[in-house]
Amino acid sequence: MTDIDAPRAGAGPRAGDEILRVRGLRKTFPGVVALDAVDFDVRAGEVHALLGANGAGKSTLIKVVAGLYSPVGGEIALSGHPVKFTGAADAMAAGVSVIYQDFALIPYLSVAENIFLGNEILGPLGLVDWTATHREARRLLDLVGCAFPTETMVWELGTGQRQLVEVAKALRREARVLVLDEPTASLSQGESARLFDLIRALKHKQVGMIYVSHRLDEIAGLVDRVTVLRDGKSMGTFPAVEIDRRKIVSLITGHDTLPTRLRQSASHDEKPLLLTKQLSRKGEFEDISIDLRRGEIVVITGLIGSGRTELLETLFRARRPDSGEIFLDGRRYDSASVRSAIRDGIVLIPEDRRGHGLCVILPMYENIAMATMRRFLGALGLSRRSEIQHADTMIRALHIKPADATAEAGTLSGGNQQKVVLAKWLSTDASVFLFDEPTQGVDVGAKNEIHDIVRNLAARRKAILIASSDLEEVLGIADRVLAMRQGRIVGEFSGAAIQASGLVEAITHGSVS
Amino acid sequence: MTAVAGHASLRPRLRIDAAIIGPGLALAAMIIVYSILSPHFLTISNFTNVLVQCSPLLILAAGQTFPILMGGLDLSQGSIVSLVSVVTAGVMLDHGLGLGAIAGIGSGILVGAANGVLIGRFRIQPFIVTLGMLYMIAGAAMVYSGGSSVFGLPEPDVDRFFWFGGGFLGPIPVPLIIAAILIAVSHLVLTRTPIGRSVYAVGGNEQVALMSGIDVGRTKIFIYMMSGAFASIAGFVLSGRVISGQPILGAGDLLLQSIGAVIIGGTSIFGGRGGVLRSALGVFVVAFMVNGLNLLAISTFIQEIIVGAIIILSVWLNSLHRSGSTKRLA
Repeated sequence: MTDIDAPRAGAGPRAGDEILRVRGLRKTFPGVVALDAVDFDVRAGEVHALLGANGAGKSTLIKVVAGLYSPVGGEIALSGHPVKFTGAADAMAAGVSVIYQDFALIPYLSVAENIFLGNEILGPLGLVDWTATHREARRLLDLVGCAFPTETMVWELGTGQRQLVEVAKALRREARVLVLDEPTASLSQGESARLFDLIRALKHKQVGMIYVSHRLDEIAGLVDRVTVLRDGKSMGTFPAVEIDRRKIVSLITGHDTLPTRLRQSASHDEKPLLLTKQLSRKGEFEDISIDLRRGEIVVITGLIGSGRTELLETLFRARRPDSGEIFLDGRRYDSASVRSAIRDGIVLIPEDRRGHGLCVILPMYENIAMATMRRFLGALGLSRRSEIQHADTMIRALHIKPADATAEAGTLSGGNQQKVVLAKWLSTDASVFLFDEPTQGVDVGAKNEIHDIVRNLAARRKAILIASSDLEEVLGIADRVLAMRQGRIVGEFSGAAIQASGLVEAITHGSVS
Repeated sequence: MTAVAGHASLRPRLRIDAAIIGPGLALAAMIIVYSILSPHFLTISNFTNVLVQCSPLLILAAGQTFPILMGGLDLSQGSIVSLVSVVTAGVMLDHGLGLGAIAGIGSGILVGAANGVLIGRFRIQPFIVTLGMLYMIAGAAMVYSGGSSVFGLPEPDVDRFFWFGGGFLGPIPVPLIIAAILIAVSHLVLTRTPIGRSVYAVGGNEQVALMSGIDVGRTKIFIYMMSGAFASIAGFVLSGRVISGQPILGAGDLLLQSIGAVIIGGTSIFGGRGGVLRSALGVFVVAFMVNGLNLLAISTFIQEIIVGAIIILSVWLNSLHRSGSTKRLA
C-alpha cells in the first residue's frame, strides 16, 4: 500500500491543511429543517467522524457535500475556494467522492467497467482502451487488497468485496475528500479490518475522510475528530482524544443525565398474544424468542442490518422462517402468505413507505381502502362515495393534510403518507400491529401524532411491536425494549431499566450493563 | 406547496382527467376540420360505417387495457382472433353456430388463462409469455385449419353468424352494440369491483398490492383471461363479417392498432393509470382520422405515417402532464 497516487492538486496538501470547509449550512424540506447553521470541516489526512441519531441530518449533510442537494443557505469551500455544486458529477470532478451505504454499482458490468463507469479510459479513436482499463483496474484492486480478477461481474461479489470496489472507484477519481457512509454496516469483522487498514493508508496520502457511523466502538483509534449532529444542528466538533463515549452518547441523545421515561406502562394481559420460539432465518436473524401481549408496546431497537426488518416481515409472512415457531393466541401460526396473516389480524406498516406502503399514483381513498375493499361493496359494486366517506373520517381522525381524499398519495409529505398507510391498516380489525421505523423521514409534529396513534392502539388492547433505531422514540413509547445486534436479541429492558446509555451499549457492543 | 393547495381546492366533481384532454381535443378538431373539407364526412351513413368498422378494434382495445393497466401487455391478441375464427367455423361446419361459438370463444379464453397462469403463477415476463403465445397460437390456427380458410358454413347458421358481424338491430349495427356492452362491462369491472381495483393496485405498485393482502397472482390470471376473452369475441365478430374461418384473420396490424389505441387514449404504459373509456376514445381518434383521410383521398401510406406520429405525440403529451405532477414532490 505504498503507491496510492498523491492527490492531484499542485504540490499536494500537507497534513492538517483544511480541504473542505462548510459554514452556516442550511437545508430545508417541506415542513422540516434538515440542517440548521451547520459548521463542519475536514483536514488533509484526517478521519472526521460524523455522528448522530437517525434523522439528525447526517445523510443530508453528506448529500449536500456530494452535490446531490443544493443548500438553502451557507457556504462550502474546497481548499479555500468557494464552490457551488450543481450535481454529483460536479462534486466528483472537484474531488469529493462518496461511498454510499447502498452501493452504486451496476451488477451486470464487470468490476473494471464499474470502476471506470462514466470516466472511461479512451484510446486514439475514442474507443474504450480495454487493456489500459484492466491494467488500471488491477492496480486499484491491488491497492484496496482485492485479489479477484478485474473481469469479475459485480453480482458475483459479496457485500464486503463490493464495498472495496467502491473504494477503488473513489480512488480512481483521485478523491481529495472521501465520504464513507456507514461503511461497515454490512461487513464482516475481517472485511472491516481490511477497510480500516485502507483508511489508514489513505490518511498517509493526505486524503480527508468523513466517516459516518453508529458504531461508537469502531471509531476509537481510527478517527481524529468527532462532530455530533442532533436535529439538524451541530453539537460541536471535538478532538477524538478529548471525548469519551459517555459524552458522545449524551450529545447524540440530548440527555445529559439519564432520561426520564415518558410513558407510564399500561396494564396488559399476562397471556402473550404473539409468541415466537427460536425463530431463525439464515444470515438475517437467529434464535429469536419474543412474546407480545395485548395492550403492550414492545420496541426492537438495533442498528441498520441488525435484522429487525427481516424479523417483522417474517412475522407478517412476507418471508418464511428457516426454523422456529410462531404462536398466535396460543395456536401454532403458520399461515402461508401475507394474505392469511392479514386475515389472522397481523398487519405491518413497512419501513419503505413508497416501495411497500402505498401506491403513490393512486388517490388517497383508494390506498386507504386497499386492504378492506369488500367493506365498500354495495349493490352496484365498489362505492366510490362510501370509500371517500371512510377516507374523510380517517383524514379527520389522523389530521391528514391536504384533507382531500382524491389527492394522489404521492403528492403528500412524508408524515402524511405515513398516516395514509396507517389509515389503511387502522381500517382493518387487526389485533397485532407491526411497525417498521414508523416515523422515519417524518417531521416532529407528525411524529408526535403518530406516537399518539400508537399509544391509542395499545389502549384499545392491540398488541404492538415496533422496530426503531430512533432512541428518542424508543424511550418515549416503549413498555419493553428488545435490543438487537447482528440478528440476535442481546438485551431486554423494561420499566425503569429503559435508559439511553444501556440501550446504546447493548446495540453497539452486544453487552448488557 | 402551493400546487398541492391548488390541487386540493378543486372540487372532485369538476375535475377533468387531464389525460383525456389531448385525445378529446384531437377528436373534436378532426371532426370539425373534416366536416368542413368533405361533404361526405358528417353523414349518418359515414358515421355508422366508421363505427361498424372500428367495433372489433373497440373490443380488442378494451381487452388490451387490462394488461396495460397492470404494466404489462398482451401480444397474443391477434393470434387469438385467428384461432377463434378457424375453431368457430370448423366446429360450426358439423355442430352449428351455438357449439361453434362456445368452442371458438372458449379456445381463446383458454389461451388467455394460459397466459395468466404463466405470468401470474410462474412469474414470467408478460412480454415474453405473450410473444411466445403469439407464435404458438398463430401456428395452432394454421394447424387446425390446415393452412386454408374454412368456407361453406351451413345454412341457416351462416346468416345468424353474419348477423353478429354485420347485422342490424333496428338502426343500430350489432357489432357496435356488442362493443358498447363489452366496454360498459369492462368499465364497471375496473371501477366498481375489488378485482378491478386490484388491477390498478398491481399496476401502481405490485409490492404494495402484495403487502396489502391482494392476491397478485390471481389478479394477473384474471387480467389475461379478460384480454383473451375480449380478443375472442372480437375474433368471433370479425369472422361473422367475413362468414368464414380465416387462419390469418388476426395476423395483420390489428394487435398493434389495439395497443396503439390504448396508448393514444392516455392509459399509461407503466400501469396504474387509465381505463377502457380512454381506450375507446383512442380507437375513435384513429378510426375517424383514417376515415377522414380516406375521404380526402390521402394515401394509406401517408395515413400510417400519421398514426405512428400520433402515438408518439400522445405519449409525449402525457409525460409532460405527468412530469408536471411529479414536480410537486420536489
